[in-house]
Amino acid sequence: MSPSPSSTPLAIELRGVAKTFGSVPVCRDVDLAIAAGEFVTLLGPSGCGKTTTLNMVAGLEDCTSGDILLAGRRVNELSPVERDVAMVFQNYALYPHMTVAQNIGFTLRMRGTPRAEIDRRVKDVTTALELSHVVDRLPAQLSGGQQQRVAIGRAIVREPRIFLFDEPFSNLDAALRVKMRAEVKQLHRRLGVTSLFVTHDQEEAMSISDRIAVMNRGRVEQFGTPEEIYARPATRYVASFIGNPQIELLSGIVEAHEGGPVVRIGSELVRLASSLNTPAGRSVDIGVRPEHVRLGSGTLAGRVRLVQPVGPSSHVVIEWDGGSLIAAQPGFCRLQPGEPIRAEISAADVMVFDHASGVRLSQGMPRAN
Amino acid sequence: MPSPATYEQRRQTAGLFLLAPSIVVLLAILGYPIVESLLLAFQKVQLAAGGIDRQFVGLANFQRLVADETFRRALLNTLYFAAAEVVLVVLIAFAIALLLNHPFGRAGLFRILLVVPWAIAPVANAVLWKWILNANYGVLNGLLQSLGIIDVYQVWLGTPVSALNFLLLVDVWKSVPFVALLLLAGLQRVPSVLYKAAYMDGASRLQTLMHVTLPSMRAAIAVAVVLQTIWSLRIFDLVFVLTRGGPADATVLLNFLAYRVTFNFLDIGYGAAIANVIFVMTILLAILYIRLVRPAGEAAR
Repeated sequence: MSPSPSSTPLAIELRGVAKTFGSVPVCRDVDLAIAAGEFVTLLGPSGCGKTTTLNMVAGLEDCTSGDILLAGRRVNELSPVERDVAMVFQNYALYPHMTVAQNIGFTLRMRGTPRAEIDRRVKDVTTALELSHVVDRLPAQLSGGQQQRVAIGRAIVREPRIFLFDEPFSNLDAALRVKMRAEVKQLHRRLGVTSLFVTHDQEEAMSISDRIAVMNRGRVEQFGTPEEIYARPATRYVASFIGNPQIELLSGIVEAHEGGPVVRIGSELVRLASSLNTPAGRSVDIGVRPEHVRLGSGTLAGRVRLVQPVGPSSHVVIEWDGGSLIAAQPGFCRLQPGEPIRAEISAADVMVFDHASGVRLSQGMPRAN
Repeated sequence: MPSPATYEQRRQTAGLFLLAPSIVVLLAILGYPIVESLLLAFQKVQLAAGGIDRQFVGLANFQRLVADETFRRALLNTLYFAAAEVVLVVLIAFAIALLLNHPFGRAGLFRILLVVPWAIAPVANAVLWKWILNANYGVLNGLLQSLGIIDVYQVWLGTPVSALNFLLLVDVWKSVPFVALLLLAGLQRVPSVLYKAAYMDGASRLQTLMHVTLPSMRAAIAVAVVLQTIWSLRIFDLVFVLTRGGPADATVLLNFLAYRVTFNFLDIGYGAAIANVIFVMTILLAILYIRLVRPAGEAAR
């Protein structure tokens, strides 16, 4: 969970890393501390700086300022081989004129590993990745999933200290993506190699990572376990980036009320936990996840606008004079559009964000960014 | 013609109509001369008063080729010229393409400067070099003397070996630009992520060039080699302007020989036979070229 004690050095440490292209800042003040053996994902929309951060760890791009430390050693000026990192690229980047075995063995050949050892290690890797029957094929003769595995094989044959993944599954279809996700997770469990993974797919990040760094406009907004990120997002941005369907954000002003502060959204009064620092008059955004809306009873009186069954659950969009909300109902929901309905927002689960700063108000004082 | 029913039929008929004019033109300006020259090669042609006397002689013209010392000389000259030119042009052009592909070389100015030799009209180019190589006023003599490399002015085109190699030099100078652009296009089609992968795999610059760049460009290089061979086999203008085949037939290349035999010696049938030797070599290379280009186009996807 938290970084390991200082006796064992961190596998990857970024200290105030920044990168600008010309005058355009891409990464600013990125601080990350990743323990040995951790699987960490950089998550964010395109252009948030996640791939640039990965490339800087890889040694493909220089930092404009700040330091990158691997196993306690500053590596800013070292080559990828000296850093002992291997990378899996987005489009696999397989050498099109080399067979599977040659692709995987290339890195060993380049550093003059004896022929017999290359053969042995390539054989080990292709066996482990179930590629034994295609070792003599060219990349163009492989399926997408096989190409992906060759790309992974090329990284693991080196037995590096760190794996870097740059959106490796973005070219695969949905079913294969889920399968490869599981394979990579099992591989990580087996090899225990520290891994840094980049994706814009929040579900992928949640399912594969020990910890996730959510990035936005070149900064790390929050770095925590999937559970922390989902249940206790640090900012409104993180809350709305994670979760499908998206969290519903309702804006209002805190009012004093008997029994504690409330926010009036249309005719509905949303109760806030009294431990939050929410003086009357403060502008806030209320974040409500679909699973925190209960249908059937409650003070909120509205109508069903839309029902979207997705299999295990149905998403019911309800609207009232304060706006609209999505409620997740298990199974197939029989409600009809236009039907009047009552709902209740679970006050204990509601997230409250300062409207101006977007920071979530937690118990006690609001956190500094 | 019945009006076409389906879209597919309509497309095919339309294609035929659109192609017809160019097929007619091609038959007239390419097909007719090719057939006519092939027929001439099997004939003894004599210019008689008021007409041309044509007489089929079977393979006689080709039998003469085998025994002809001048033809053998021209063939060897041409093969040497083509082989040396292909090697020089492709190597120099590849080096230039690498420079142009480098971030510092990307400026359009370099590319514009590069194509100048190629853009000059062939005969103008030859005349230009005739002056550069001139034994009395030539810039090359002046330059080399002022640099202290030669003591006295040389007659560059005066000795057999020197003359042939200077022709070679001039044609290399003229041919490099196009091949360089061809190879540059091939170079730019190598996905940049392969270079990143090779870098991550710990390959040095030289290793990356040998194991990633060159194999990825195999098709482009093959096309360059075949096209340049075709062009080298067909050299005529340089010989005509610079040396007229001399000294002592040292610079007689096949195409120039065909011209000389046909139009100077008026031995039209024999000239046609020589021309057809070039034609057969060229067409074989052209078939090879088309085969090379086709899979490259499919692999590009």
